[in-house]
Amino acid sequence: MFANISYVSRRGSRRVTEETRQLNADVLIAGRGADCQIQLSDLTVRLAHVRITQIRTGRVLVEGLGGGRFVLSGRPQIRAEIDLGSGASLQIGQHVLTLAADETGLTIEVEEKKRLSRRNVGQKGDPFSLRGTWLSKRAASWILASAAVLLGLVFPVFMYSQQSVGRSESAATVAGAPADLSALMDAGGEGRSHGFQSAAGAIWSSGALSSAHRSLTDDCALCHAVPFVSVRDETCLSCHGDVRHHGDPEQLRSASPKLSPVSSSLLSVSSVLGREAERCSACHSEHNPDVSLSAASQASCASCHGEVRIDGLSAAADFGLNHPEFRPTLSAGEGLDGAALVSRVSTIVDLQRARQTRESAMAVRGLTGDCDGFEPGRANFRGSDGAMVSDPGPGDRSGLVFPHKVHLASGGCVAGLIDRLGPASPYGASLTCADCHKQDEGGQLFEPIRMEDDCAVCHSLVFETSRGVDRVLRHGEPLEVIAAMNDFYRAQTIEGVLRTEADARTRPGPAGLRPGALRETAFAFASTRAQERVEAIFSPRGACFGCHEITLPEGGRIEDVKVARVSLQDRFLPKSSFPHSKHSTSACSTCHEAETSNLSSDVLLPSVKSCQTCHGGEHAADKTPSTCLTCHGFHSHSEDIPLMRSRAAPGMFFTARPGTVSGAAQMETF
Amino acid sequence: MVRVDHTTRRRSAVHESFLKHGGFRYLKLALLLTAVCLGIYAGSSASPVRNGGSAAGYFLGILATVLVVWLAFLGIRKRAITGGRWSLKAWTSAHVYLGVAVLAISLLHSGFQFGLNLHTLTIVLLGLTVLSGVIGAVAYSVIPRRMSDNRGQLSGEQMIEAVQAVDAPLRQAARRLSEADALLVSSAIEDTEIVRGVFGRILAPDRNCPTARALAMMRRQSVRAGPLDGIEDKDEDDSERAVRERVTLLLERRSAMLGRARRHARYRALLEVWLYAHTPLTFGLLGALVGHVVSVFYMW
Repeated sequence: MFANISYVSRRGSRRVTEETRQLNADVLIAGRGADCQIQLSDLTVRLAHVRITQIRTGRVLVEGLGGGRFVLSGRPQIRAEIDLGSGASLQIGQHVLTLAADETGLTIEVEEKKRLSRRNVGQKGDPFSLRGTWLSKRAASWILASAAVLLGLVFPVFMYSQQSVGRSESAATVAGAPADLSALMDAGGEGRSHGFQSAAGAIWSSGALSSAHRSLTDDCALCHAVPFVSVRDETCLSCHGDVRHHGDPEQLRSASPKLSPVSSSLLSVSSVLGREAERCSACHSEHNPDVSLSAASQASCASCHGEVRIDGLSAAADFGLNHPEFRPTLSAGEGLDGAALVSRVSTIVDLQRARQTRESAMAVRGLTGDCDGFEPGRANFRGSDGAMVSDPGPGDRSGLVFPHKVHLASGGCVAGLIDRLGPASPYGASLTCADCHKQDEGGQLFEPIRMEDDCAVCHSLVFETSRGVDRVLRHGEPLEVIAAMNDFYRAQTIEGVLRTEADARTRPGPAGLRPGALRETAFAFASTRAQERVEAIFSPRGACFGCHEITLPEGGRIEDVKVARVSLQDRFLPKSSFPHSKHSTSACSTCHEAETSNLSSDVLLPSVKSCQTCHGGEHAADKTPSTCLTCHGFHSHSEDIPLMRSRAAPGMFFTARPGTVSGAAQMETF
Repeated sequence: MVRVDHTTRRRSAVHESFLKHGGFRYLKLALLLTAVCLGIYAGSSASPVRNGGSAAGYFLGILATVLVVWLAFLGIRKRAITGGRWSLKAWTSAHVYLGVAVLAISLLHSGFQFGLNLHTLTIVLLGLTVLSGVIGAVAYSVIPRRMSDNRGQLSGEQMIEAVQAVDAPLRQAARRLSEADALLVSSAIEDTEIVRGVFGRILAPDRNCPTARALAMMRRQSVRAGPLDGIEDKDEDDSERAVRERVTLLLERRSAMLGRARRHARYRALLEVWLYAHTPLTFGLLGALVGHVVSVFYMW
């Protein structure tokens, strides 16, 4: 067989015949080997890959050698008879063999396909750059930015607008006043736990709400009522309407410390943004679960109170280091109109000094303050000769005579009296504090002392016993006492007169006294007797005189007797709270020196130093850390507690609010 | 004050790292700014709480936002190369140092309050952006020298050509190898990726490399063939051995060229890849920042 073998390559679109070989052979071997008739320089091709044999003119047999395959009509084959009438194309590795036959023999055209490296091809530009890889800054940027905007802005705004639309509709129908938060809360109840809504809320919420407000968590629009308007005080006040301000806003502003230029410019930045400094939320910062909603550091109080900026206010910055001495609110007798007065002038130290002065004056006079010595407990105390011992000095002018020492003594007259009462006595062998001072239900202070409950067991108001019935005087009403006693003795007299007259009628013999004369004598006697008895109970050793400061009229009617108004303070330090129940592990005498107190003018409160043995300032390391708010409130919910205001002038007396015994209130200028 | 005169111009012509630009001018500026913000944070009232909603928080938030927007402008600014005081290098130096400072300022702004919400997402995105940027800055200060050592005077294109230049002689030499060996060499030529995928080129440029595999195989076989076998049939062995040695040599050469090109690719990738995080994170951050700013005023 004669074969014409040409090697062809492409240069661009041009085909170039590189080499042509003619040979005459029975069999043609195509392969990589050097001895092959058809040379295929392709390493994937076997050394001898296929054998081409002419069967007859125009027809060849192609056989793969040693498993060598070729591709014919798109199919890999190992053996094929090919009719070359219209030519044929074999592919072996990278080479294409185009076979044709004519009369002269076989024509074989070998073309090596352009070696297309499978790698690093098709990459535009610099193959080392990441630009040609799947990485895309643009796509990733779009994805991240739009995800952030959709999730962080569009979704919450959409959910919020749904919420506020729903709310204003239902609020309008329910209440008609959309600003009323309580109405809004009622109205919004149905859609409260919407899943998407809470998700949207959670995305925007900067932190959990305080425990008191946590039920409002999914109702953002409840407080954030108007977009782009900061939460308004009215919204807070719609629930917390009874909160009273710390003081007069003008005065507060004037007392505020001068801000540093940095702080004031920072504040002006936030106020330019529309956030005023004096708002509820300036101090009560919500969405800060780690911080109590009403927590304020002592520093925030000390920023104003650290220095004296308002006359009459003492500086206070740290309970352990810098806190003024207590200045209790004391009873100060009564005004000309009979109203109770209170004063808040002396400090505990002043009062303790005054107490010592009085004690030494008593010692000089040989007064021991027991039951039988002088009139114990009398505040303006006069000796038994009636002369003033000395200037009593500052003290509590409650109007009551009450020597704690006598009452708490384990022996002596009180114990003797208890003993005499026998089984009727509700007390132990002697009196304790708790026998009279009963803690109130809140555990803060004590129930007010009531004569009927706390004194009358011993201090009986029985003035006579008639036919087995005790006749008791009405406490607290001197005129009624006088009238009742007069009535009683007159009634007794009438009874006696009637009995005597009846006796005279039934007895035979000469008539005795003329009935008129008898009656005159009897009523005169009754009158004298009543007057004596009345005067006696208002006089030394009388039932009233024992406890009350009484001024007997000099020569006038007994009805003009003056019993000093009794006003017992049930709260000596009304601007602070003191939970007695939390201090119940200490004995009363730890703080209150009652067992040695002779006079009711003694103020038995402890000094601030006594508190400071256990309590320190906010940052105290070795004492109970206590902030200002541990004892003091910034706002007040009760009108009984005075606003935290400065006193206009020290030393003034003020009128207690009518209707209260304690009278610590309504010190408008305090 | 720096006068831009001839001396300065000449000095700036000498290479100076963007990190050291102007005698660390922007490092000092960033430190000063951070110190001032720290002072504002520490000096602000801790009552009721330190966070973005306090007066100091607003200030720090505004400052951080302005800085973030300015920092993001580098993407636009870098497309215009200018010289002098406001050169791109100065801008880049400031970008790096103020970029780190803005993270500190934002943390102060947050008062270190974190939660599962948009606000923390914003600061997390900022943190990731800054982190990727720091990685980029480190890459730019470490890699160019190594890259230059590696490439000699060659361009990237020349490195690929140097690999491919071995292909023709290798193919030629391998023609006389047995089937299995020839296929190995063919696979080395055809299947070897000079520059692999994104992860491959950075993490494992040489793993499963057909060239390395072929080279290893050729070496192992020549060891197995050994000198003793050669004595028996010297002529034939010699010729086959010569072919093998030549192929091995060529494969070694190819492998060396590949190594260089791949190191180059790795360095290039390290220089570039952080930006594929930095840029999208920046846009994510800008999106979250818009949400954050709008949300705090919307829900005021």
